[in-house]
Amino acid sequence: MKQITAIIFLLSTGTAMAVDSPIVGQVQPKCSVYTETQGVYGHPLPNKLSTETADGGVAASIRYDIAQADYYKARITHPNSFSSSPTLTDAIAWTGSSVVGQVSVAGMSAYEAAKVTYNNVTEFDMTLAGSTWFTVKSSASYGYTKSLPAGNYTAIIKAECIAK
Amino acid sequence: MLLVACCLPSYSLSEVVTGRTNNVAKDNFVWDMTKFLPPQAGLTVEGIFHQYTITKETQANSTVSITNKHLKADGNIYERHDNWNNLPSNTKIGYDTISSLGVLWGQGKVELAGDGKLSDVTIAYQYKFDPCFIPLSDPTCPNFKDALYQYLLDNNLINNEPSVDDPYYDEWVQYQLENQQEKKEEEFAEVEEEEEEELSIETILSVSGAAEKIANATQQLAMMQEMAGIKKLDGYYSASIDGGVYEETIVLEDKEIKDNLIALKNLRQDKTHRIIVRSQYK
Repeated sequence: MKQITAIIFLLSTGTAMAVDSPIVGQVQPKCSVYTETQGVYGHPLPNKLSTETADGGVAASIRYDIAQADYYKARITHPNSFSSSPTLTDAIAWTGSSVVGQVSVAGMSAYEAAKVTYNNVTEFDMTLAGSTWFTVKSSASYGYTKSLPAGNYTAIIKAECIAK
Repeated sequence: MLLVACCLPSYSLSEVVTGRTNNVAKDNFVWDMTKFLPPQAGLTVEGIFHQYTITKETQANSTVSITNKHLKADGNIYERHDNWNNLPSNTKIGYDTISSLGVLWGQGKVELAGDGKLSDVTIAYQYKFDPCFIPLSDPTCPNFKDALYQYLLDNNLINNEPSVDDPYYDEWVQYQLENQQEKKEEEFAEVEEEEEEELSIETILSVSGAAEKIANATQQLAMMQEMAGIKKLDGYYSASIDGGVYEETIVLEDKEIKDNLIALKNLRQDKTHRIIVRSQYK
């Protein structure tokens, strides 16, 4: 009887010595992106759509809120195609830009000089914590003296927060 | 007076009011806070919003400062200095969270030191205050009755009617009137309730003129339920009547009863008979 008791005890001890103890954690976003002003295309010429104020358009304003300085890059891609439009039979010539708009810290003004641009992508190094507004413009010209078909046109700006 | 003070209403809730001033730098880069902050006691400044555009050469050195003087001490109660040295022109937007008593905030100023130009300046103060910070300021404040009681106590008015010059005389009179009105209303409500109860029972139990109700099956059921109510029948069931046997107390002994000969003699006469018959028609 004593032996049986001892064996049971050893078994139970052996079970308790192996425990999986998880460590949990949650990553909160330290970078947030918001569309403050939605862009609108003006139609100054039959073959042109433009967000320039002079062309009757509205440039988009995108805000980046950075909670932790020097950990993120803002990558903004201005459009090079329509996400929806009437059927087009000719090529579109796209232009666009992304520039630093308003800032919440004076030092963020330096982002503009330090930005990197390639293709239709602009990257800003977010070295300071706070909010930065970026102004994104876009323009689309259709063929040579060819008018755009009537209908609704939509193009997408891609604004990303990239961890360094 | 003590009774009055204890019975004052406490039905309202105090809600903190938050607000934001207009653009204090709209017309001038120097401003007087008393012209923009509400005069409420206990007001606190909770934050400052600023937006401005600086136009300058990138290589130029400039500093934009926003300050507020401290009214009760030397120096400033708020300072912000934005260093624009070697930075390009831009528009800056910012908000500083603060919590400080509004009465401490003195003259405000925004200025540019160095080369450049400031434009489109917007500065606004976020504030909040409790309208019941001084409970006596409004009878609807939650602690008004306590404050009034304390006031009366402090001014030895507990057992005396305050003078008409007293700033809270009107409140005192108002509550006297309200108290009287409340008592009247309570008494009236009690009487009405009793009358309604009586009427209700009468209506349910009455048969005459209630043919429609009786014919209605739903009404019948309601009547039966009402009549079957324990409270209503309880009076009948619980009434106690002393029982027992009522014994015969009159004992008639067997005797010979003689005829009244005089009476019989009178009845035999026609005249008497006629008088008796006619008397029935008088």
